Amino acid sequence: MSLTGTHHAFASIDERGVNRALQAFFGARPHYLHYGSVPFVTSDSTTETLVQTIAFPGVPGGIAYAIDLTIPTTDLYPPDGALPPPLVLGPDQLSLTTEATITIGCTAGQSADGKRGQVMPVSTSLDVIAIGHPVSVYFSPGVGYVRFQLDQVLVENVAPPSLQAVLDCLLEMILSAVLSSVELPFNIIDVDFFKLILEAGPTIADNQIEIWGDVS
Amino acid sequence: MPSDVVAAVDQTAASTLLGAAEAALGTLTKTGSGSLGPLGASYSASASFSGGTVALSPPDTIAIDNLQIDYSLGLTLSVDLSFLDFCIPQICIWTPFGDICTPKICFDFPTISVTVPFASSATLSADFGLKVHLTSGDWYVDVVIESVPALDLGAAAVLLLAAIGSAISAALLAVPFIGPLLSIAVAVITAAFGLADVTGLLGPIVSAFVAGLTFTVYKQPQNFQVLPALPPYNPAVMVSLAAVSADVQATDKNELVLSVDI
Repeated sequence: MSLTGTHHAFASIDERGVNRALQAFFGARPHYLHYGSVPFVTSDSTTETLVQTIAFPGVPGGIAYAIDLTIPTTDLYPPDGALPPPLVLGPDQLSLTTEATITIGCTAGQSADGKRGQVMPVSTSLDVIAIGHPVSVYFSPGVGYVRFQLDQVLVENVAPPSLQAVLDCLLEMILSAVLSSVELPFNIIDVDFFKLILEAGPTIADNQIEIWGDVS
Repeated sequence: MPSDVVAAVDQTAASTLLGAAEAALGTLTKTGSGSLGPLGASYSASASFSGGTVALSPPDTIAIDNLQIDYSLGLTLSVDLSFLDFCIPQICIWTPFGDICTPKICFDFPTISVTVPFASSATLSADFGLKVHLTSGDWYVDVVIESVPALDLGAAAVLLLAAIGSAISAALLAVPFIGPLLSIAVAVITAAFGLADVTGLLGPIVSAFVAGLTFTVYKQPQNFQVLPALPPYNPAVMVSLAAVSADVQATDKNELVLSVDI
């Protein structure tokens, strides 16, 4: 079976290519992985994103927190191995694995002078596995991108189930927000061999993301 | 191990890429010299390519049929008119007062330059090969002609022969004192070369554009930009194209396949 099939052009990027593209993206723009309020992050930069503290009555300045993610790694269908239940990787899906470190600025307790003590960072690191699928955004020949949309997120080894549900939802919101910024432009899938007029795809099969079309 | 990125086009799309490569190649120019029978000739020539249909054959042959070459010449001929040189001898007439003589008058004709503008086209069909190389930080996939095909320049040579005759006639008109000798001069000069000489001059000029003909169907920097910079906090995203290869693969249809490791 030809690569182009019923179309005139075909392009694909495999699992290793996607992961290298993600490494390049987050390596150049690490602020998409590191979020924090004062005092953990003091200003926006290439490496960090400043967020507001969580306002809460009686906590002066609000609750400080930070969220740090490792660069996600992908596994394109078919899966390299079994995923923790209930996750199942189906055709046209990919899994993303990352470690999320959640830190809060703990100011519990009082100092001898009656004031609250210094902010003490308290952290937990969670293994997060997500399942998603690729979607394409096409503007004009050669101009467009593939991005990832999450279908399900699981935080491993958390109990009780109600806490897991909270964390699953929290991490799904965070990962969705992060991935909304991640684009695989057509030019990394076809390495600018041609200006693709997208006609079909993206699909995931044989450990690669595939797109088809014509050339202009 | 499979490549990270695979991009493929079928023959239809390959013809489209060829068109883009032809446009990117632009107009080629060459200068040189040769001979047209006994006449010296120098030329400046330009050529461009268009059209052609692609047929892909594994493992790495790209046959291009009906590729059109449009060329133009600025041909400059050096015509030595010394063969027309003549002298009017001194003539003396006797008179009772002595001989009266006319002076001896000689006419020396110069070497003139005749410029012949000419443009025409030809079509060719040839096999091309694939050449992948990394040069000065850029990856190239070139489609390179394997051998120079015979070009049918017969009709163009006939037209060029006529154009040369017309140009020589026009140039001779401007030569002082040639009036009575014009028809003789034209006849002598144009008899000095024939269609074979014109073909012998034109063929190498046009063939020079075809020899080594190279269309670049892919050129990208090894340090490849995936996303441009988006200030203030988003630097450009770059990946390195570590290896590039290209071949023709045949399944239920033949395809030109580019494989890249990043």
